[in-house]
Amino acid sequence: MKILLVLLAVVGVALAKECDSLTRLKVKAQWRRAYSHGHDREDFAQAIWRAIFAQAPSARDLFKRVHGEDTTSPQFEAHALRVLAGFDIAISTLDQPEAFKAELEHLQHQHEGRKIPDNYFEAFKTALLHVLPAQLKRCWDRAAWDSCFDLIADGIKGHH
Amino acid sequence: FRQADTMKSLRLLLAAVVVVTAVLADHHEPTHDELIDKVVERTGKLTHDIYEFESHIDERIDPERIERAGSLRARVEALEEPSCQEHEDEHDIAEGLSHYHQCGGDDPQCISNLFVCDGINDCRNGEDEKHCTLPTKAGDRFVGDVVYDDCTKRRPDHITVFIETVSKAAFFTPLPKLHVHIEIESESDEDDSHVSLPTDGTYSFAENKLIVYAPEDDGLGLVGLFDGHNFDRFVGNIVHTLSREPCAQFIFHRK
Repeated sequence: MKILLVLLAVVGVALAKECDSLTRLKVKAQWRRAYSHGHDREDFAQAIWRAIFAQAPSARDLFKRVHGEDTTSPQFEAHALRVLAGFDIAISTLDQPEAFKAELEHLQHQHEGRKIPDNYFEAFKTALLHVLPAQLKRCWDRAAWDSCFDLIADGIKGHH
Repeated sequence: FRQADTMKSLRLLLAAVVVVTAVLADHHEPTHDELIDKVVERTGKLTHDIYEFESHIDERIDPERIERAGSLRARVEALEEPSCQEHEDEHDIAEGLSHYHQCGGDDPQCISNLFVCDGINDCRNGEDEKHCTLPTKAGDRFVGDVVYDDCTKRRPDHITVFIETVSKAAFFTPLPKLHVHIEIESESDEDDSHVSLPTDGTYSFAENKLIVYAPEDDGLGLVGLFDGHNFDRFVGNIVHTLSREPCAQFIFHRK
């Protein structure tokens, strides 16, 4: 019984994981490994977008300007890399509150008026949470990513 | 399969010949029965020849034979320098990790592991979407015999990997998730014990690799490598999850 209580307490903590300072450092370090460089980075971005569009095919319409109909087109590749670059700034500044806030405000400004439904952000999150472990192959903390991603997405959406 | 079709039409044709000759035979002098017997005999001979030819073809396209030769090729490829490392991270190379998959064939091409079996053709030869049947299905059991063991707690002679469930996210298919049980029977001086450790894992189509996360807090996980042709056998290394350092090896066979 005691063990069960302890177990429940542990589960409770795991579920309620917040994006606190230690968690932010962990996410930063894991992102550095996953984000990688060069060609690998393009593939990482490509895989994330394929998983997003597989979940929400209608989201392609928002990316007509950058050739969302063909994710391997140079225009979309460029867009995918730009998105990850923005995400990279947000993650890299997770431990610098002021810079983090400024980046989120900037991203929110870029996204407002585009009428992006919340479920597209969810699709992005789900895609990221599937591709990340595939890219990292080991040592990754789902709960940490779960909470820190929400923090960033809420900042971009401007609401919870 | 097309060959089988051709054979079928050939046999139909022969049957037709028999009928036509039987009708024509009515107008000739020699007795009908003799003529018909001759034709039937000849038809029988031809049919036999066709069957023999067919069995020669079957021998050459025997899947088991192709699989055995493929396994040999895989062993040679493992000895060669990795063919997809040009853009790799040096840390990954040191740990034997690769982010790239070789499309192979006469038209070598490296593509990201993330694209293998994702439903979109990335290899020019389409190889990345051709072999996407999961070899570790729910209910499968693989029994491993020890090769060496410098780290496990129980030092068993055998380890069994039991695949309990398999799940694949429809929008991201290159790495299906598995729930497995690691079963170990061990005998010590004091007592015999049996444990079944539940844990999670994943299968990588790009690398034909089964990854089983550490079931206990000792950080020891299992990395099983199929050769990509024979899916009834894999080499399983027990590794330290953090360093990826192997410290025990078992050869597993499907039961």
